[in-house]
Amino acid sequence: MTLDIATIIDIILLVGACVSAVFSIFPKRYPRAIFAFTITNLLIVLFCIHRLALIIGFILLWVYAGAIVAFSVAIMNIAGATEAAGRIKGGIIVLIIFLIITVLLVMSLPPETLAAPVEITFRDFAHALWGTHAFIAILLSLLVFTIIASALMIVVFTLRSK
Amino acid sequence: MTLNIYIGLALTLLAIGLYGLISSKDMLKILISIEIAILASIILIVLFASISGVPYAHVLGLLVLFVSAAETAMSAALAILLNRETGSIDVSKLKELREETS
Repeated sequence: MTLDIATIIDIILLVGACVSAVFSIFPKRYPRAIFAFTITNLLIVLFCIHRLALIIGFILLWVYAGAIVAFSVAIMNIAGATEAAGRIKGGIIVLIIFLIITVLLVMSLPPETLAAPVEITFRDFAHALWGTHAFIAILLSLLVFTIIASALMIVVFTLRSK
Repeated sequence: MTLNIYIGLALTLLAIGLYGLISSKDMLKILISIEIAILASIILIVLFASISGVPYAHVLGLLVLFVSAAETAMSAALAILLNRETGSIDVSKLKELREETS
């Protein structure tokens, strides 16, 4: 079985993601777990970008940057850092580190990988988004999420006020 | 043959996520495990999207992403509330919804 260079890069990225996923579950300290989880996400984002799913890759990058900031804020809240300035500062630092590492990793990819032609244009993507009513589904899911989150908040505040 | 390697690696990631989900009682670790399992599904969606070349599969990947983002934000908020109410994020302490037996 002969593997081309692109497949080998994919496999290295996925094996790296599996290894860092193991390290994100087992450590007892949160910062190590979050660091390993960040690396897992970065490797998956790179896999998506490498597989020419550029749109998904970049949206994934921002969604997981947001998720890691949410995790960091949660950990800082639970660990006792209650000052808002500290939370925001920590979140922004994590986000900046996340983006710098991603840019460095993307730059380290071979030029022929980055220069590969994009098979799906943004126009195709937008047509598919509208054609499959996925846009409406996303809006509805966000609406349902907002309603559930609001209901939960009302329930929690009501229970706490009693 | 190459496809089998990709699927095997995605299933490995799914297995790691499921193991973390079952073995951990820490809510944040459970959340990370769920995210890892979702990442495995995203890998497979992106893989099959790149093989088929149709944009619909990319849209499906986008939907999974949005669900994942919503789930993360909500679960992190629940973890914070759990910590405020009980003083820890051990899910085994969540017994208040259990029906009382006489």
